[in-house]
Amino acid sequence: MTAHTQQHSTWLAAHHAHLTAEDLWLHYFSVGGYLAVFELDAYLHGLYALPQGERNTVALALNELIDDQIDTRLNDLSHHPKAEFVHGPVLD
Amino acid sequence: MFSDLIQDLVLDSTDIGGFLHDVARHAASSLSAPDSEVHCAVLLVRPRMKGTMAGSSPEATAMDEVQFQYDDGPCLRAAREQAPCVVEDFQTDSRFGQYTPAILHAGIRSALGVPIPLEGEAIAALDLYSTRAGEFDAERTQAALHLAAEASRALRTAIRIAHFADTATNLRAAMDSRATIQLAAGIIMGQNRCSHDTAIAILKSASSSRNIKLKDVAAAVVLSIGQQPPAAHFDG
Repeated sequence: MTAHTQQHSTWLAAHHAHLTAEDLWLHYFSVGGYLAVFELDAYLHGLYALPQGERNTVALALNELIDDQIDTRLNDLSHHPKAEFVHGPVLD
Repeated sequence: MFSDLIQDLVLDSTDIGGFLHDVARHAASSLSAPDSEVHCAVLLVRPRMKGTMAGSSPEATAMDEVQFQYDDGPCLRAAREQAPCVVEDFQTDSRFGQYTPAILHAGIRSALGVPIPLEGEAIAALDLYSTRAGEFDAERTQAALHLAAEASRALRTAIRIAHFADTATNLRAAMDSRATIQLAAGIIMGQNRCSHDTAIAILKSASSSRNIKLKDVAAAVVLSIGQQPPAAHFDG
Protein backbone atom coordinates (compact mmCIF):
# COMPACT_ATOMS: atom_id res chain seq x y z
CA MET A 1 0.00 0.00 0.00
CA THR A 2 1.65 3.15 -1.16
CA ALA A 3 0.59 6.72 -0.54
CA HIS A 4 -0.78 6.80 -4.05
CA THR A 5 -2.89 3.63 -3.81
CA GLN A 6 -4.35 4.74 -0.51
CA GLN A 7 -5.23 8.13 -1.95
CA HIS A 8 -6.74 6.48 -5.02
CA SER A 9 -8.86 4.04 -2.97
CA THR A 10 -10.11 6.99 -0.94
CA TRP A 11 -11.06 8.92 -4.04
CA LEU A 12 -12.87 5.88 -5.49
CA ALA A 13 -14.82 5.29 -2.28
CA ALA A 14 -15.85 8.96 -2.07
CA HIS A 15 -16.81 8.98 -5.72
CA HIS A 16 -19.00 5.87 -5.42
CA ALA A 17 -20.72 7.21 -2.31
CA HIS A 18 -21.36 10.56 -4.05
CA LEU A 19 -19.52 12.38 -1.28
CA THR A 20 -17.55 15.51 -2.01
CA ALA A 21 -14.78 17.04 0.09
CA GLU A 22 -17.37 19.46 1.41
CA ASP A 23 -19.67 16.63 2.51
CA LEU A 24 -16.77 14.84 4.14
CA TRP A 25 -15.10 17.76 5.84
CA LEU A 26 -17.16 18.16 9.02
CA HIS A 27 -16.94 14.50 9.92
CA TYR A 28 -13.24 14.44 9.06
CA PHE A 29 -12.79 17.44 11.37
CA SER A 30 -14.76 15.69 14.12
CA VAL A 31 -12.33 12.75 14.12
CA GLY A 32 -9.36 15.07 14.52
CA GLY A 33 -8.48 16.08 10.96
CA TYR A 34 -6.69 19.40 10.61
CA LEU A 35 -6.95 20.22 6.90
CA ALA A 36 -9.31 22.81 5.40
CA VAL A 37 -11.90 21.79 2.80
CA PHE A 38 -9.70 23.10 -0.02
CA GLU A 39 -6.72 20.94 0.95
CA LEU A 40 -8.94 17.93 1.59
CA ASP A 41 -10.40 18.32 -1.90
CA ALA A 42 -6.92 18.58 -3.39
CA TYR A 43 -5.85 15.39 -1.57
CA LEU A 44 -8.93 13.47 -2.76
CA HIS A 45 -8.08 14.42 -6.33
CA GLY A 46 -4.46 13.38 -5.94
CA LEU A 47 -3.02 16.86 -6.10
CA TYR A 48 -1.82 17.20 -2.54
CA ALA A 49 0.31 14.69 -0.62
CA LEU A 50 -0.46 13.90 3.02
CA PRO A 51 1.49 12.01 5.71
CA GLN A 52 0.24 8.51 6.52
CA GLY A 53 -1.49 9.50 9.76
CA GLU A 54 -3.59 12.09 8.00
CA ARG A 55 -4.34 9.78 5.06
CA ASN A 56 -5.69 7.31 7.63
CA THR A 57 -7.79 10.03 9.24
CA VAL A 58 -9.39 10.83 5.88
CA ALA A 59 -9.99 7.13 5.16
CA LEU A 60 -11.48 6.54 8.59
CA ALA A 61 -13.80 9.57 8.38
CA LEU A 62 -14.96 8.58 4.91
CA ASN A 63 -15.59 4.94 5.84
CA GLU A 64 -17.63 5.99 8.87
CA LEU A 65 -19.78 8.19 6.65
CA ILE A 66 -20.27 5.37 4.15
CA ASP A 67 -21.36 3.08 7.01
CA ASP A 68 -23.91 5.71 8.05
CA GLN A 69 -25.29 5.83 4.52
CA ILE A 70 -25.77 2.07 4.55
CA ASP A 71 -27.64 2.40 7.86
CA THR A 72 -29.97 5.19 6.83
CA ARG A 73 -30.80 4.31 3.24
CA LEU A 74 -31.33 0.63 3.96
CA ASN A 75 -29.87 -0.04 0.52
CA ASP A 76 -27.48 -2.89 0.17
CA LEU A 77 -24.30 -0.95 -0.23
CA SER A 78 -22.20 -3.75 1.22
CA HIS A 79 -20.28 -4.01 -2.04
CA HIS A 80 -19.52 -0.36 -1.83
CA PRO A 81 -15.79 0.36 -2.05
CA LYS A 82 -14.17 1.62 1.14
CA ALA A 83 -11.04 3.69 1.55
CA GLU A 84 -7.93 1.67 2.47
CA PHE A 85 -6.72 2.08 6.01
CA VAL A 86 -3.02 1.43 6.69
CA HIS A 87 -2.36 -0.45 9.95
CA GLY A 88 1.03 -0.61 11.61
CA PRO A 89 3.55 1.83 12.98
CA VAL A 90 3.58 5.44 11.91
CA LEU A 91 6.04 5.66 9.04
CA ASP A 92 6.30 9.38 8.52
CA MET B 1 -54.78 35.60 5.64
CA PHE B 2 -53.10 32.23 5.44
CA SER B 3 -49.76 33.62 4.24
CA ASP B 4 -49.49 35.93 7.28
CA LEU B 5 -50.50 33.12 9.57
CA ILE B 6 -47.89 30.84 8.09
CA GLN B 7 -45.12 33.45 8.53
CA ASP B 8 -46.03 33.51 12.21
CA LEU B 9 -45.80 29.75 12.30
CA VAL B 10 -42.13 29.96 11.23
CA LEU B 11 -41.35 32.29 14.12
CA ASP B 12 -43.32 30.27 16.65
CA SER B 13 -42.02 26.80 15.87
CA THR B 14 -38.86 25.54 17.50
CA ASP B 15 -37.69 23.34 14.64
CA ILE B 16 -38.61 22.39 11.11
CA GLY B 17 -40.60 19.35 12.22
CA GLY B 18 -42.77 21.57 14.43
CA PHE B 19 -43.28 24.03 11.61
CA LEU B 20 -44.33 21.32 9.16
CA HIS B 21 -46.70 19.98 11.77
CA ASP B 22 -48.39 23.37 12.15
CA VAL B 23 -48.68 23.76 8.36
CA ALA B 24 -50.28 20.31 8.09
CA ARG B 25 -52.78 21.12 10.84
CA HIS B 26 -53.77 24.43 9.27
CA ALA B 27 -54.04 22.90 5.81
CA ALA B 28 -56.26 20.13 7.13
CA SER B 29 -58.59 22.55 8.88
CA SER B 30 -58.85 24.91 5.91
CA LEU B 31 -59.37 22.14 3.34
CA SER B 32 -61.80 20.01 5.33
CA ALA B 33 -65.50 20.59 4.85
CA PRO B 34 -67.94 19.93 7.72
CA ASP B 35 -69.15 16.74 6.07
CA SER B 36 -65.80 15.55 4.72
CA GLU B 37 -62.73 15.59 6.89
CA VAL B 38 -59.35 15.22 5.18
CA HIS B 39 -56.06 14.17 6.72
CA CYS B 40 -53.12 16.29 5.75
CA ALA B 41 -49.38 15.62 5.81
CA VAL B 42 -46.38 17.63 4.71
CA LEU B 43 -43.21 15.98 3.53
CA LEU B 44 -39.81 17.51 3.01
CA VAL B 45 -36.80 15.83 1.43
CA ARG B 46 -33.49 17.66 1.72
CA PRO B 47 -30.31 16.47 0.02
CA ARG B 48 -28.19 14.07 2.12
CA MET B 49 -30.75 14.09 4.92
CA LYS B 50 -33.47 11.77 6.01
CA GLY B 51 -36.93 12.82 4.87
CA THR B 52 -38.93 14.91 7.32
CA MET B 53 -42.68 14.57 7.58
CA ALA B 54 -45.47 15.85 9.74
CA GLY B 55 -49.18 15.19 9.76
CA SER B 56 -52.38 16.83 10.99
CA SER B 57 -53.15 13.56 12.76
CA PRO B 58 -51.15 10.46 13.73
CA GLU B 59 -52.91 8.67 10.84
CA ALA B 60 -51.66 11.22 8.31
CA THR B 61 -48.08 10.92 9.56
CA ALA B 62 -48.34 7.13 9.42
CA MET B 63 -49.55 7.30 5.81
CA ASP B 64 -46.60 9.42 4.76
CA GLU B 65 -44.27 7.00 6.52
CA VAL B 66 -45.77 4.25 4.40
CA GLN B 67 -44.73 6.23 1.30
CA PHE B 68 -41.13 6.39 2.51
CA GLN B 69 -41.24 2.68 3.20
CA TYR B 70 -42.22 1.89 -0.38
CA ASP B 71 -40.39 4.93 -1.79
CA ASP B 72 -43.51 5.72 -3.80
CA GLY B 73 -46.92 7.32 -3.37
CA PRO B 74 -48.84 10.41 -4.48
CA CYS B 75 -46.94 12.80 -2.21
CA LEU B 76 -43.48 11.60 -3.20
CA ARG B 77 -44.48 11.70 -6.88
CA ALA B 78 -45.88 15.22 -6.54
CA ALA B 79 -42.64 16.33 -4.88
CA ARG B 80 -40.37 14.64 -7.42
CA GLU B 81 -42.31 15.50 -10.56
CA GLN B 82 -43.35 18.95 -9.29
CA ALA B 83 -46.90 18.33 -10.47
CA PRO B 84 -50.12 17.50 -8.63
CA CYS B 85 -50.87 13.81 -8.29
CA VAL B 86 -54.51 12.81 -7.77
CA VAL B 87 -55.72 9.37 -6.80
CA GLU B 88 -59.47 9.13 -7.37
CA ASP B 89 -59.80 5.73 -5.79
CA PHE B 90 -57.04 3.46 -4.55
CA GLN B 91 -59.22 0.43 -5.28
CA THR B 92 -58.99 1.07 -9.03
CA ASP B 93 -55.57 2.73 -9.17
CA SER B 94 -52.68 0.58 -10.33
CA ARG B 95 -49.81 3.10 -10.43
CA PHE B 96 -48.34 2.56 -6.99
CA GLY B 97 -47.69 -1.17 -6.72
CA GLN B 98 -47.13 -2.44 -3.17
CA TYR B 99 -48.03 0.93 -1.67
CA THR B 100 -51.72 0.63 -2.68
CA PRO B 101 -52.73 -2.39 -0.54
CA ALA B 102 -50.90 -0.85 2.43
CA ILE B 103 -52.83 2.40 2.14
CA LEU B 104 -56.18 0.65 1.53
CA HIS B 105 -55.54 -1.36 4.65
CA ALA B 106 -55.35 1.96 6.54
CA GLY B 107 -58.86 2.77 5.29
CA ILE B 108 -57.84 5.43 2.77
CA ARG B 109 -59.66 5.61 -0.56
CA SER B 110 -58.48 8.80 -2.27
CA ALA B 111 -55.46 11.08 -2.04
CA LEU B 112 -54.00 14.24 -3.46
CA GLY B 113 -50.34 15.29 -3.50
CA VAL B 114 -49.37 18.81 -4.51
CA PRO B 115 -45.78 20.08 -4.75
CA ILE B 116 -44.63 22.96 -2.58
CA PRO B 117 -42.25 24.93 -4.82
CA LEU B 118 -38.79 25.36 -3.27
CA GLU B 119 -35.41 26.59 -4.42
CA GLY B 120 -32.31 24.40 -4.65
CA GLU B 121 -32.23 20.65 -4.25
CA ALA B 122 -34.85 20.32 -1.49
CA ILE B 123 -38.29 19.09 -2.49
CA ALA B 124 -41.55 19.21 -0.57
CA ALA B 125 -45.19 18.34 -1.00
CA LEU B 126 -48.52 18.70 0.72
CA ASP B 127 -50.48 15.49 0.95
CA LEU B 128 -54.20 15.07 1.51
CA TYR B 129 -55.97 11.83 2.31
CA SER B 130 -59.63 10.96 2.54
CA THR B 131 -61.51 7.86 3.58
CA ARG B 132 -63.97 8.47 0.70
CA ALA B 133 -63.33 7.86 -2.99
CA GLY B 134 -63.28 10.76 -5.46
CA GLU B 135 -62.85 13.36 -2.73
CA PHE B 136 -60.37 15.54 -4.59
CA ASP B 137 -62.03 17.31 -7.51
CA ALA B 138 -60.59 20.17 -9.58
CA GLU B 139 -61.78 22.77 -7.10
CA ARG B 140 -60.13 21.11 -4.12
CA THR B 141 -56.94 20.57 -6.15
CA GLN B 142 -56.87 24.29 -6.95
CA ALA B 143 -57.36 25.18 -3.29
CA ALA B 144 -54.53 22.83 -2.30
CA LEU B 145 -52.20 24.24 -4.97
CA HIS B 146 -52.96 27.73 -3.75
CA LEU B 147 -52.17 26.72 -0.19
CA ALA B 148 -48.92 25.05 -1.23
CA ALA B 149 -47.83 28.20 -3.07
CA GLU B 150 -48.53 30.27 0.04
CA ALA B 151 -46.58 27.87 2.23
CA SER B 152 -43.59 27.98 -0.11
CA ARG B 153 -42.01 31.25 1.04
CA ALA B 154 -42.34 30.44 4.72
CA LEU B 155 -41.01 26.95 4.20
CA ARG B 156 -37.94 28.31 2.41
CA THR B 157 -37.29 30.58 5.36
CA ALA B 158 -37.76 27.67 7.77
CA ILE B 159 -35.35 25.50 5.77
CA ARG B 160 -32.72 28.21 5.83
CA ILE B 161 -33.04 28.68 9.59
CA ALA B 162 -32.91 24.91 10.10
CA HIS B 163 -29.78 24.72 7.96
CA PHE B 164 -27.92 27.21 10.13
CA ALA B 165 -29.21 25.63 13.34
CA ASP B 166 -28.09 22.20 12.10
CA THR B 167 -24.69 23.55 11.14
CA ALA B 168 -24.20 25.01 14.61
CA THR B 169 -25.33 21.76 16.26
CA ASN B 170 -23.05 19.68 14.03
CA LEU B 171 -20.04 21.90 14.68
CA ARG B 172 -20.61 21.65 18.41
CA ALA B 173 -20.83 17.86 18.14
CA ALA B 174 -17.61 17.87 16.08
CA MET B 175 -15.82 19.89 18.78
CA ASP B 176 -16.99 17.42 21.45
CA SER B 177 -15.82 14.49 19.35
CA ARG B 178 -12.38 16.06 18.81
CA ALA B 179 -12.04 16.81 22.52
CA THR B 180 -12.91 13.22 23.44
CA ILE B 181 -10.37 11.82 20.95
CA GLN B 182 -7.59 14.11 22.19
CA LEU B 183 -8.36 13.23 25.79
CA ALA B 184 -8.30 9.50 24.99
CA ALA B 185 -4.94 10.03 23.24
CA GLY B 186 -3.62 11.68 26.40
CA ILE B 187 -4.74 8.73 28.52
CA ILE B 188 -3.00 6.28 26.16
CA MET B 189 0.16 8.43 26.19
CA GLY B 190 0.23 8.21 29.99
CA GLN B 191 -0.51 4.49 30.12
CA ASN B 192 1.84 3.46 27.29
CA ARG B 193 4.48 6.16 27.65
CA CYS B 194 4.18 6.84 23.94
CA SER B 195 4.02 9.90 21.70
CA HIS B 196 0.81 11.68 20.76
CA ASP B 197 1.15 10.48 17.16
CA THR B 198 1.46 6.87 18.32
CA ALA B 199 -1.50 7.22 20.68
CA ILE B 200 -3.68 8.59 17.86
CA ALA B 201 -2.48 5.81 15.56
CA ILE B 202 -3.43 3.19 18.19
CA LEU B 203 -6.93 4.70 18.51
CA LYS B 204 -7.50 4.90 14.76
CA SER B 205 -6.21 1.40 14.21
CA ALA B 206 -8.53 0.03 16.92
CA SER B 207 -11.47 1.88 15.39
CA SER B 208 -10.77 0.73 11.86
CA SER B 209 -10.09 -2.93 12.63
CA ARG B 210 -13.09 -3.34 14.96
CA ASN B 211 -15.39 -1.24 12.79
CA ILE B 212 -16.31 0.95 15.75
CA LYS B 213 -16.46 4.69 15.29
CA LEU B 214 -13.32 6.51 16.43
CA LYS B 215 -15.35 8.77 18.69
CA ASP B 216 -16.88 5.71 20.41
CA VAL B 217 -13.48 4.03 20.84
CA ALA B 218 -12.17 7.25 22.38
CA ALA B 219 -15.19 7.57 24.68
CA ALA B 220 -14.64 3.96 25.82
CA VAL B 221 -11.01 4.78 26.69
CA VAL B 222 -12.13 7.76 28.78
CA LEU B 223 -14.83 5.70 30.49
CA SER B 224 -12.30 2.93 31.19
CA ILE B 225 -10.50 5.17 33.67
CA GLY B 226 -13.81 6.01 35.32
CA GLN B 227 -14.27 9.46 33.74
CA GLN B 228 -16.92 11.06 31.53
CA PRO B 229 -16.14 12.19 27.97
CA PRO B 230 -16.04 16.00 27.84
CA ALA B 231 -18.80 18.17 26.43
CA ALA B 232 -17.62 21.49 25.02
CA HIS B 233 -19.40 24.50 26.47
CA PHE B 234 -20.04 27.35 24.10
CA ASP B 235 -22.59 30.06 24.39
CA GLY B 236 -25.12 29.06 21.76
